[in-house]
Amino acid sequence: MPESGPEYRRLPGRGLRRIGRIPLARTSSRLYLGPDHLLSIDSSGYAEQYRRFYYADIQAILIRKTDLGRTWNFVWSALALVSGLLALGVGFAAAIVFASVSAASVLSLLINLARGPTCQAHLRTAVHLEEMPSVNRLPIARKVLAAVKPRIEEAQGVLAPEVLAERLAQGATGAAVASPERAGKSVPWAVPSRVPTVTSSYAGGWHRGLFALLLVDGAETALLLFIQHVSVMLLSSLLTGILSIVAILAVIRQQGSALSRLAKGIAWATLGYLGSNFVLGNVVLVVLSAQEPGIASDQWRYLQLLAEMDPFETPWYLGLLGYSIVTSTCLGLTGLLALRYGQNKGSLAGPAPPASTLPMNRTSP
Amino acid sequence: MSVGVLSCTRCQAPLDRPNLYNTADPVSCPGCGALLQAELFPAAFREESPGPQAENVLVEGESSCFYHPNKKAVIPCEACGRFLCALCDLELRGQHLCPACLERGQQKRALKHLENYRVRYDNLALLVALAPLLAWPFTLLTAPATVFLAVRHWNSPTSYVRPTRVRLVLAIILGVLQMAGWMMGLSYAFRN
Repeated sequence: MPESGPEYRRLPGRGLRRIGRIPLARTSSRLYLGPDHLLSIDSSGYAEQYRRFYYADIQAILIRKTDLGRTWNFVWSALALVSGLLALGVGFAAAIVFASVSAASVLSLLINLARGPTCQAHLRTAVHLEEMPSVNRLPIARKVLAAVKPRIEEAQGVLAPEVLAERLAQGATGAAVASPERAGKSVPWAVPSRVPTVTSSYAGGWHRGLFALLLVDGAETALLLFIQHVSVMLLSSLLTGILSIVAILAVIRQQGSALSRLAKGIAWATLGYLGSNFVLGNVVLVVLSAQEPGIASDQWRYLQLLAEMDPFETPWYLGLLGYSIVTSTCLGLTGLLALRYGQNKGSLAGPAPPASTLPMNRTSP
Repeated sequence: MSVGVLSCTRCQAPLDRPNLYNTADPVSCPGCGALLQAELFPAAFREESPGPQAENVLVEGESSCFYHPNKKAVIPCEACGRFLCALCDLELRGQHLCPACLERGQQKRALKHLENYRVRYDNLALLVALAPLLAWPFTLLTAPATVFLAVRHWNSPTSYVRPTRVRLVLAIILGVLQMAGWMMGLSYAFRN
C-alpha cells in the first residue's frame, strides 16, 4: 500500500493558477483541510506543488466579488441570441447548426448562473499573500470560510469586536506617537493590486486606428446591403484582416499603459468580436458547402456566392450583416469616446516608478 | 506592537473601520463599492518576537556549534547528533534539526510536512495510456511504455491526500488491453 499521509478533507472549488508570465499556462488549484494547516495543491497533471498555511499563522482572509461572472453571462446571452435569430432564417440543415450553438450557449449561461457570482479570495500570513484560485465563486467562498474559520479560531482564539476596534484604532494612532516621521502615514497592507502600474508611454495611437477602422468596417458592411459585388466582399475581407492585426497590436501595446480601462476593454471586446466573426464565417461556409460542395476549398467561389446573395431576400445573411454593422459601429464609437474622455480626465502619464515589491507595510510603534 | 489593516484588492482603499471585518454578510468597500468579506484573526495583531540569537562561547572547552565554532551549543541535532547553536537549531513540530538534516529530510521525503513537490507517476502512466488513443497507431509503442512506467513506479508516492494505486492499476489494464489488441490484430493480418 502506498504510504498514507495525514487526513485531509477536500474543500469545494477548483480554479486555475497562472504560471509566471506564460500566457495560457495554468495549473489546477485545490484546497484541502488538514489537521493543523490548510493545504493548497497545484496540479499540472503529472506533478503537484504543495503549499501549507498553518491555522495559527493565518492573519486574514479577504473575499471580493468580481464582475467576471456577469461578463460571461453577457457573452453567453449574446451568442445564444445571435445564433437563435440566425437559426430562424436559414434552411433546415443550417438551422440545426445554429440552434445547436444557441442551445449550448443557453446551457452555458444556465450553468454560469447556477454556480453563482464570481469572486476573488486572498489569504494573508505574516510573510505571505496568497491568492486562492479555487475559491472563485461566492457560494464556494462561503463554504470554504465556514470550514476554515472554526479551525483558525481553535488555533488562535476569537477576535472580539471591541478588541478589533481597539487594535485598529491603536494602529491609526500608534505610528504618530512612536514614530513622528511616519505620523499620519498609517500604510495599509498593500495587497497586490489588479490596477496595473503604468510602465509604458504608449498614448493610444493603435487604439485610435483600431476604433476608426471599426467605424469604416461598419460603414463598409452597410454598403454590402446595397451593393452586391465581389469587390466589396474582397474589401470586407481585407479590412477584417487589417482589423485583426491592428487589434492584436493594440492589445499588446496597451499592457502597462495609462489608457482607461474602458478603452482597454473595448480593444479586448474587438478581438472577441473578430473571433465571433471568424466562427460565424466558418459556420456559413459549412452551410453553403452543403448547397454547393467544393466551395470549401475554393475561397474565390465562396466570396462570389456571398456577393451574389441579396441580404433582403436571405434573412440569415441580413442578420449577420446587421450584427456586424451594429457591433463594429458601437465598438468604434465607444472606443473613440473612451479615448477622448480618458485623455481629458487626466494626462496620459509617462512611465511611473515601479510599485514597491513589499506586499505589506505595517504601522509600527 | 505592530498593527496592520487590509486594503481592497481592487482599488487599494484601506479597510480601516472595524465594521468592515468579521461580518456575517459582505460589505461595500469604502473606496470602490465592491462587495467584500474580510475575516481578520488574532494573528494579525500578534507581537513580533525577535529571532533567536546565538551566544558566544565564553569559557574555553565549552561545547560549541558544529557550524559556528565561536557560538555556544544549546542542543544536539536529533538526526545526526551535531551540536547546534540557537541560530542553527531548526525546530519543526517538536523535532530539533540542523540545516543539513532538514534539507536532506526534505529531499528524501522523510519529512512529510516539508514536501512541496511531487511527480505523479500514476497520472503520467494513465496519460501515456489514454492520450495516444487519439492517434491509435502510436499505441503500438505507448502500450508497453505504459506498463513499464506503471510497474517501474509501483512504489513511488501517488497522491499526497489520497494515496491509492488505482490509476496505476488502470494504466496497466489499459496497456495490457492495447498490447493484446495489437497482438490479435497483427496475428490476424499475418494469417490472412
